[in-house]
This record gives sequence, structure tokens and C-alpha cells, in this order.
Amino acid sequence: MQYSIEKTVAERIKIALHRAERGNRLENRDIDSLLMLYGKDIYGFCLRLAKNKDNADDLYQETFLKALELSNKIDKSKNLKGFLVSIAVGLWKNNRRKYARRQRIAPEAELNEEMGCITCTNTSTPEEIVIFKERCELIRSAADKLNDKLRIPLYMYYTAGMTVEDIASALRIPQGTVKSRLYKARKILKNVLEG
Amino acid sequence: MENEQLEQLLTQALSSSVEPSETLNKKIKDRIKEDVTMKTVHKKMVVAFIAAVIIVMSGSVFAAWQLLSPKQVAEELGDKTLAEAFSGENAVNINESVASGDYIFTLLGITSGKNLSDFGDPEQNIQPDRTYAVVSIARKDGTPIPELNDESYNEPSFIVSPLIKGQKPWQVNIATMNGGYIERVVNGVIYRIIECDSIEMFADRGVYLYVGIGAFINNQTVSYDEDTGEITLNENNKEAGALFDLPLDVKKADHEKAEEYLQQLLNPKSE
Repeated sequence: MQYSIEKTVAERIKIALHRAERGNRLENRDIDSLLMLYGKDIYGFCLRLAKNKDNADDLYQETFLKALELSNKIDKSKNLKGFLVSIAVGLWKNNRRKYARRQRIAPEAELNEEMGCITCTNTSTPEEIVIFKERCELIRSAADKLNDKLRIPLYMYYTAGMTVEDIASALRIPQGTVKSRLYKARKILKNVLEG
Repeated sequence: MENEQLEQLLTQALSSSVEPSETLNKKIKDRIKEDVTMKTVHKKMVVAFIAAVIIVMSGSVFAAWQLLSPKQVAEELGDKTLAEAFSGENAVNINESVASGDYIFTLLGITSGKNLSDFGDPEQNIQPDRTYAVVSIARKDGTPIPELNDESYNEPSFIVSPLIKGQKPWQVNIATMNGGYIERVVNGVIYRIIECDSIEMFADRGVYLYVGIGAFINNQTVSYDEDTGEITLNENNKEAGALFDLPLDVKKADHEKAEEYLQQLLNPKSE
């Protein structure tokens, strides 16, 4: 059943892409498919980037609205997730001040609790679970302090589940640069964990 | 820590299990129905209306509206100190637009002084006094200019540069005056803040601001009259461009300082 839904969605996305290639805007049903296929990844990415639920909801909404507006600009590589993520990044940068203001009103503590650490509980003893959760928290906190050049590719890779190739295409930078930024980010986070 | 272990930890710590709510997705679909078409039409109507007024006024200079103020532009670009400077006494809000080719160029405002920006290292600038000017560039037909994440962003590219009366534009311009710029596209309009060494010292000579398509200031974009020192737009240039007179306070002119500055700029080896 799951397979058939995904297949239908994939078919719709194909049609949407053909429409976009012809310079036509996406339609409501195309957005339905996009939401179904990429909604979770994009929302997770928005949550990490915007740091609280209100900001993330806002950013997520604006991303899809902007995607509809710019749908005739989808690149030929058909990297739809990358297209959506790059829009989210652009909107977030443009509205950083607004989000920062809200951030002060609604701090991120609630967010981390809500987002959780999805597989933090795969260890056996309660002590191990506590240590694991602490390490997850440490990583999230350190990742959040990275500069945007490192932080954004990191979230694109681990939160939005994008490949290095897709990140490079979405950010319009060489793949080598993405790899080097991910390497630097990992190194910093590793030092934090070991420090 | 092993790389594999780190990789696993990062994946687990940074991934998210939260799904957007049904209500949120519904909101998006509802807003698409209500907003997007209206917003685009409205945006086009505003710029097209401005274009219509310009045409009625036969291409003359007119007051701009519906654009961000210099302070708002500085805020958009995250420069709080500069935003404050644009509400200060020394700032001049100009709001003059010129239509040329497919574009409407608007000079929004200008200010000069020391430590006016959050960006840049004042110690790296030989001249501590800097000038900041804000311009906007919109398409005359109201279609939005591509944003940063668009593949056609920066096509065509634009140059914005102060020019000094009596000085060859290809010798004294933003590139030689330690200049730079930051910009952003907001609602389909480019807003650019340029900065360079302060031009106030030239206030008694006459200072222009050139805005137009291109990457350099050369004799294709502007003409220079060797006898009078006047700078004008090159009539043969088919690309869009505008030349504004900057309303600087003549009292702030400093002839000696300006001469010394030009000496250093034009003869760098003589130092």
C-alpha cells in the first residue's frame, strides 16, 4: 500500500516537473505531492534552522509558497528537495532578524524536547540512555553554534537527508567544498564530544 | 572516537522525527489558493504603476514610493549600526528615480562618517571616513528580478559607483576608492548598499552616482569632458544606466584633504 502511494506521488512529481520545464507553474495537486514526499524532511530542516516551532512553521509555509512562485525555475537536475531546501535557506537568511526576535520570545528548549533524538533509546541500560541523550544534546548545541557555512550543509546532510551532490547543486558550490565543509563541521563536533 | 561511531551519533542527533501537522499543510494549500496569485498580480501592479508614472513624466526624475527606505534596507541586510546611521542627522534621504532601458533606478539615500557599519574592519581602511549610498533597481514592466537562489541571479550585473567631477571616471570610481557593496533582492527589487572612502571632501566639486548595467566604469558607460570635467552618460551606450547628482553639503568639502587623497589614489608609487 505504502509503495503504491509513493508511486502515485512520484508520478505526480514527474508530471509537475514536466509542467515546470515548460515554464508553467505548479498546481495544487503538485504541491500535495511535494508536501507528501518532502514535507517531513523540509520541516525537520526548518526546525533545525529556525530553532523554534513558530519560526519553523512560518519558514516551512513560506518555503512551499515560494516554491510555487518559482516553480518555473526548477533546475533541470530535477533535484526537487534541493530546490525546496535552497528556498528555505534563502528565506531564513532574508528573515533572520525576524526569526531571531521570535527566538528570544520562544527559546529553543521546548524544541529540542519536541524534536528529540529519534533513536537515542537504542542503547540498553538507563545510564547509557542518559549518556547518549546528553551527547545528542551536546552535538545539537555545538552544531547550532557553527557558522552558517558549516551549519547549513550539516543540516542538509543529516537532517534533510541530502547527498553531497544534491547539496552542492542546491547551494551552487563545488562538491569538494561541500565535502570540506562537512569534514570541518564533523571535526569540530568530534572535538566537542571528546573535549 | 571512531568515524563510524561519530557518523551514527550525528545522524541520530541531527535527524528529526517530527512531521508537519495536517493543519500546517492545509494552511499552505489554503494560502496558495488565496495568496500567491493575488500577491504576484499586486506586485506587478505596483511596479507597473510606478513605470506608468515615469512614462507620463517623460523619463524625468520623480519621487519614489513603495520602496524600502535606506534604514529598512540596512536592517534587511543585517547592519544595525548603518540602519541607525540612516536615521541620523547626517543622512540624506533622496528618493529619486530614473527610468532607463528596462529598469527603474532609484537613489534612496546617502550618509557618510566613521564607524557607521557593523561590517568591515575599520582598521583595514586607510580612510576611516566612509560613504554609504543605497540604491534600488526594479524592472519597469513589474516582473521580479531573480533572487539570490535563482540561476539567473546577477544577469545582467549592475555597477553602482560614485564619480567625481573633474576626475576621469575610469580612474576615480568605486573600485579605486576602496569600495564594495552588499545587496539583496526583496519583492523582486534589488536593494544595494555601496560603500567607499568618504566622498564628502569632494562636495564643492560636484559628485555623481552612476547606476547601470555593467561590471566596470569605462568610456562605454560614461563620457568625460576633459575641458569642463563634466561627466555625462554616454549617449551611445545602449545598456540601461542613470547618473544622479549627489546632494552633498558643500560645507563638508575639504579641498586640501581631497587633493592629498587624489594624489595617493592616482600616484600610489609616489608614497
